[in-house]
Amino acid sequence: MSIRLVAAAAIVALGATAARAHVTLETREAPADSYYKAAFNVGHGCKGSPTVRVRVRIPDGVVAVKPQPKAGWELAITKGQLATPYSDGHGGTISEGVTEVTWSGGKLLDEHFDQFILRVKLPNKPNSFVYFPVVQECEQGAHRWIEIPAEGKTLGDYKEPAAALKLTPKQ
Amino acid sequence: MRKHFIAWLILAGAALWGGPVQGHAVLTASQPPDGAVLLTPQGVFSLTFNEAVTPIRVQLIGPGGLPTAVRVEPSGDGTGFAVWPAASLIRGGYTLSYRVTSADSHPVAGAIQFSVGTEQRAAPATEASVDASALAAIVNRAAQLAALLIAAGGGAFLLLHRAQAPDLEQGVRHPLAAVALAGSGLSILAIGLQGTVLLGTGMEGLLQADTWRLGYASTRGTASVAAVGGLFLLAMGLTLHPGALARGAIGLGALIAIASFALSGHAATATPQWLALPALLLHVALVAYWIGAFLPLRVALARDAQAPTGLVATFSGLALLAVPALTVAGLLLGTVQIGALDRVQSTYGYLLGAKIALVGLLIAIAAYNKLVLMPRLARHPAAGAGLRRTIAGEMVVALAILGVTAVLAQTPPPRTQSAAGRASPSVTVSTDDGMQITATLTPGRAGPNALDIALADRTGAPLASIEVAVSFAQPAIGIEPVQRPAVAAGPGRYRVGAVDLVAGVWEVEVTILVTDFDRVVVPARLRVSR
Repeated sequence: MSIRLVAAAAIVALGATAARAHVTLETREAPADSYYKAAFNVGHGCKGSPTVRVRVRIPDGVVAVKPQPKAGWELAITKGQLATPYSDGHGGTISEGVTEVTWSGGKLLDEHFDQFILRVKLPNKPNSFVYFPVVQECEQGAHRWIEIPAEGKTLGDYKEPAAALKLTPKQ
Repeated sequence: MRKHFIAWLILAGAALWGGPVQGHAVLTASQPPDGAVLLTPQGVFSLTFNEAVTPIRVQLIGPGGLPTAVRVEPSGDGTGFAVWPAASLIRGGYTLSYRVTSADSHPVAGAIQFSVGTEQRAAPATEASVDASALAAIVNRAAQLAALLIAAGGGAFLLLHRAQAPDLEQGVRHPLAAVALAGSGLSILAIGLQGTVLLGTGMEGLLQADTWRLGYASTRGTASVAAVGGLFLLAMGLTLHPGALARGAIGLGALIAIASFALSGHAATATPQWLALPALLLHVALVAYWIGAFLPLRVALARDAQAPTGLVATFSGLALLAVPALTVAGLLLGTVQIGALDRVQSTYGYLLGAKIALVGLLIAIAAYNKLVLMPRLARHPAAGAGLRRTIAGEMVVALAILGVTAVLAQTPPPRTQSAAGRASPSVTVSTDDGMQITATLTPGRAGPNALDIALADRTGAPLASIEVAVSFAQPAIGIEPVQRPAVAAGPGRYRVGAVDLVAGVWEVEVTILVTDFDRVVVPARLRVSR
């Protein structure tokens, strides 16, 4: 038990130092074709400036998007044509859906932490990655977490990578 | 209990250490700030980051693209470092380039720019003025070459043929000494002219001390100083009373003057060095002997038309060995410089062709001398006048060869161009999505430059974007990316107002924010000429 405690502490120590300035997902793996709570961790502002707006673009294949309201923030949903229409399970196809979600009007200080949450349904593509581009706007400046790794490259190769989610096989 | 203690230690360490560490280190402040104009040069610069970093390489590139040696001292908490330049800074634009690793071992690289003096943002010298200084540099180089070769070669000729014409020295020593002194003066002038060429200031640059300091710091400056030393020693040896000391001074002075060719220039830096340097020194030494013989021979023939036949015959015999040797050495150097057959059709190749043609003409005249005039001289001792005329003709052709050589010295050889390719100050790139980016540098010469960018979609219509930023790097001389934002200047047009670029090929990256969520990075190559 003590060895496990040491190992857990080491894992916490390593995790604590990994990429805390980036906007990332709380849970980075989920089964394909399932409902998933996407929690975007915003741990820093922009060089000390408070965050005032968070915009998330819904990637292709992610549907049934419902954002969670947040006290002190206004929620805006942008709908548009979906790149890939999907079936609604009752014989019809849905070609319009949520393309962008924006939380604005609030103020998250650099020394505070918060999560911005969506509930979505993930595409049926096991063993692949889904990338959520996030634009974090602050009182001064902005961070665009929008870089999607090219073939053969990993997230670590980029300065401002998008929030990444790995799709595991269906359960 | 002890194991729990270790676990708590690790957790506590994580809590304390996890604070400032982020994904990548970022430069938060610099002294001087990026783009600053300093009226007086500072003694120390500093770079500060948001977390502890380890410097890998820090470079300070100054005017003319010459690096200034620096000493780097990390700050107390390791989040930055101070940069001490080894020498005081001359006026002009500087790029302070850094490469560091942050705690997550990712390298972070970038550069800031600043200028010393008030004139950096002023318009660069007019093209006519810059061309005038380039032309002056070429003419001066040709004259310097002639003086150096005539003096050093003449001195060597006197030493070698002392026995055959003992009183030749009388009539030749003083003219040669005068030529040697003239060569020293021209070599000193070459230092200043090299500074104007590096800085692109035009002839006015000769009046500024900084231009001379820069020329002195360059390799051409070092070679010029060696040439001045050698020629001065040579002149001293020629004016001293004839004796062992004088001969020693003449010999050593001539050697130093010839060796100065190995210190700078395209041929001296060509690879493979074990081939290029000996070929160069052999070529120059033999050319010096050949050209240096003209003046003494002319004087000897003017004085006594028949007595020096032995001298001319000896020289002729030696020349028969020297000329093929120096031609082979010269062709070897030419091959190394051009590099490949398909690059013969370049400015350098054409100039080299002209030089080879002139050398052929010179050999033809020399052959005429040897095969026609010399036998005639043996039969009719009074025919010395004809020989004097052809020798004069040879001198004229030799001077023309030196002129072409001086132009070659200022022309980049093809071997240095293969890496750069056909880059120019303007380039058009198409991305996979059909977006077209045209980037143009103005004026495209070393110094402050503006970059104009035009974006178009696949139909050619101007493409608006949210923002455009550009980074400039020259990895060949170790300049890390300098970041500059571009401002909108019309539909689909963006402009970076001022960035200080030294001569060379720059790796430019244009980052275009097409929509809030889509960013395209387009690499391009732009050439900045001297």
